[in-house]
Amino acid sequence: MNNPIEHLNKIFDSRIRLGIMSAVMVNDEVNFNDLKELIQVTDGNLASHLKTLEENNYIKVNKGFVGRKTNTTYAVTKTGERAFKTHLEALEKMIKGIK
Amino acid sequence: MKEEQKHIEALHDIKDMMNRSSRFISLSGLSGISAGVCALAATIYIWPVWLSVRGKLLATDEVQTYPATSVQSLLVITGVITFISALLLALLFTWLRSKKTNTSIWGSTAKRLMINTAIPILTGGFVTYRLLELDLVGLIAPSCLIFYGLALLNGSKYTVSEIRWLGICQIILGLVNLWFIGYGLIAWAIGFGVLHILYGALMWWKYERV
Repeated sequence: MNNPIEHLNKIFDSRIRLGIMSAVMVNDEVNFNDLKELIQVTDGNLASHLKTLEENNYIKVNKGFVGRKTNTTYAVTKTGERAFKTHLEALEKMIKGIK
Repeated sequence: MKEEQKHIEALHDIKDMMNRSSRFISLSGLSGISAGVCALAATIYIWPVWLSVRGKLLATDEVQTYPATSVQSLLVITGVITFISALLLALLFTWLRSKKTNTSIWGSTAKRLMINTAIPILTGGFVTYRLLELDLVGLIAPSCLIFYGLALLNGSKYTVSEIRWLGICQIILGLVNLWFIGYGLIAWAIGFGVLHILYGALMWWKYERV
């Protein structure tokens, strides 16, 4: 028997990062403003969490334009998807294990 | 115990975020009720005209051809006014709800919902208009119901999932009506009036009751 705790991902400890991952998992891409509204955080806070996820190669960033305004969208990577699923399974096991 | 609570909360957050980011959740039950009331009001208004047209149709045995431009324009105008007022009221109640749920009424989820319901509705609009031009009056109500049902079914992926059942009911009603030509207005009143009010009341009871 291996311990489910070791599958819990430290990166997903933060509610904000967990929120970002949940949103990119069910959408093809999500833009910065939608994320800000969904998670209700400040620009700087959101940006730093996005940076962490990007550095871990969990999300990919796509910088585009809508008219003249910049429109940055985020999408999940294969690595991110796998990591998130493992994390979910670990959470599930933990809850089942405690009960 | 505390650990368990933390994990359950995390799972709850994930589910909530997935829902909020992919579906437009501010659709209000009151929108359904107001749309239903509009439809019933229109039915009452058009009822005497419909009875006389239907009487003539049955007397002359011409079930599907009845050239009467004045009746047609009355039908079209009533239909359009009903559609617009129902839509405006629906938007109003949804806008009020969106303030409570803290979601923007014109975010990407709302846009996706709009586009995916607008395509079947516009298609249905063209088909229905053409039926009217060809004097196939009996097919108008079923066509409205079927296309509207398909629009709801398509839109249900982008908003509260219960709307799927409203769509399926509208489609069934429209299909049944295809074999009961001449009862179009009754089917129309049941579909756009009664079903909307029932659906709206259920949704309001389930999600918005304080």
